[in-house]
Amino acid sequence: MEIQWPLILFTFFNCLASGIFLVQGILTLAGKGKAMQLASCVSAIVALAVGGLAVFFHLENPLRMLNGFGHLTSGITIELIFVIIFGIAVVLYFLMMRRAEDGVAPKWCAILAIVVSVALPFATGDSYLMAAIPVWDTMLLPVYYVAATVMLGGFAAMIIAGATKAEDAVKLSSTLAFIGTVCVAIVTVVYAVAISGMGEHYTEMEFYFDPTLPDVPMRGAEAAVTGAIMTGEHALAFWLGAIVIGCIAPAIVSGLAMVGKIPADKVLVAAVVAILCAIIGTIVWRVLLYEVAVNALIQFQWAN
Amino acid sequence: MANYAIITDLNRCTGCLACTVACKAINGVDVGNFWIKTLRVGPHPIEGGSGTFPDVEMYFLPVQCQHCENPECVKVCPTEASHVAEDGTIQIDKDKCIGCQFCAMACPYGVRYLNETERVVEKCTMCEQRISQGELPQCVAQCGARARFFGDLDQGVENFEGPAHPDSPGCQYDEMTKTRVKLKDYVEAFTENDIHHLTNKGNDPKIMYLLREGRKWRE
Repeated sequence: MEIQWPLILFTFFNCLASGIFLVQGILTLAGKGKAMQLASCVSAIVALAVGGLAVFFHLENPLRMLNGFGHLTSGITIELIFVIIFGIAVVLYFLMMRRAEDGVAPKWCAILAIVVSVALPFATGDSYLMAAIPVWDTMLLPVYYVAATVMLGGFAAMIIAGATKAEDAVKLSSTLAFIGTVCVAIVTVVYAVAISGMGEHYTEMEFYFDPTLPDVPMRGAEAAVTGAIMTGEHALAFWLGAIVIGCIAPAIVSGLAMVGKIPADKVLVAAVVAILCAIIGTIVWRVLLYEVAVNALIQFQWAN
Repeated sequence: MANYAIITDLNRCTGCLACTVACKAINGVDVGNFWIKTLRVGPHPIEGGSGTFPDVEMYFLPVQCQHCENPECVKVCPTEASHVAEDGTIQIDKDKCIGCQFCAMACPYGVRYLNETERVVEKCTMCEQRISQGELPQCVAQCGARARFFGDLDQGVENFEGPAHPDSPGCQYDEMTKTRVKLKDYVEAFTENDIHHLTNKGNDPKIMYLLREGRKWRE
């Protein structure tokens, strides 16, 4: 399938927004990160808004949403509902924080933050589950989005903590970043292995010809999908981009920060480097999921 | 109401692409886009044969919107632009389409695409404008091999209709287009086992393909 950059950016920023709010919720529950609450709320809303802006570049007639968006079996509708709930939860957290005498949002707000921050990326992933595209039609997709949320949130929280001098939040943030990165690595590899075993989902014709595309070679599931990621044409992007840069490098940085091996004045820089690597990795993986998003009747390549 | 579908006798289809061309002409489908395409499947070696010509088999496969019983495109549409019409066909209300293209992604057959000019998704309508007036879909009416038949599944596939052979009413075009023949009266005998559907991903495609014993269905 043609790579849909607005949707890739939308899902990425959804994970980033959710991650920032998720880690802030965990920090608040642990009695840490007081100084970074406002910055976290603002960052989460900004990330959500940027994601929303990105998706507007995908929709051809976005204003028609106003005519009706009420088809509840649609994953997009469910996703939109969770986006709205997430936005309300962030505003609620902010208001309760401002109302609190000690300047810290109450625990129930922290729990709400955690719940909505897991629900949003899960709903985002769930909206892409469709039988027509076997590589998307697996629970590994929403699970990956949740794992990426923890990873991105951990690194973003390290940066926010560094910028707001919330030293008490660094250790927990880096721990969450490390856990999230390890989870992303595991889910990505498991996902890639699962894709390599999805051959039975595709219609196989040994020989065929599409007279409207006479210069396009025949396609098979092995080359286009099952063998493409780990050993095929996308192997370099997968192993170097998604695994080495996207998982191993951030895991090393977050692991060192977690055990206190990075000096306090270097944590911010290290977190910026790590999140850049994590972003490269997660974007590469999301692009690869489009590259191998071939429908069941693999022999047909229509105008789209 | 009705439950319209199309069946193609693949033993008759010659791959002339008349359906593809006729569809584009009557529905104004842009250059580069198609509402129906015809794939050549094969030639494949016949089982037990020499592995080379003449021990090979092939058939042509016209693929369009399958107007499914449980259409995934309808399930994922956030605005109900894609919907099941009263006649059982799947239609798109272009005024409701926001162009999210999730229906195009959810279709197992990839038969939907974004119309770049109108900025909405479109696909085969089974010539709604014609069948609502009792006419045949253009791909059926113009089928060069008399391989395509249209009808109401509730009336039985054997009663699906196509245009009569030009020789029987005479060679006048108007007379020919107004004369119908039924599937059971026109094509060679077939059984239920000879009727095939494209790969079913839970969407239950309604468009049917007739391929009799002796040639292997590759879906």
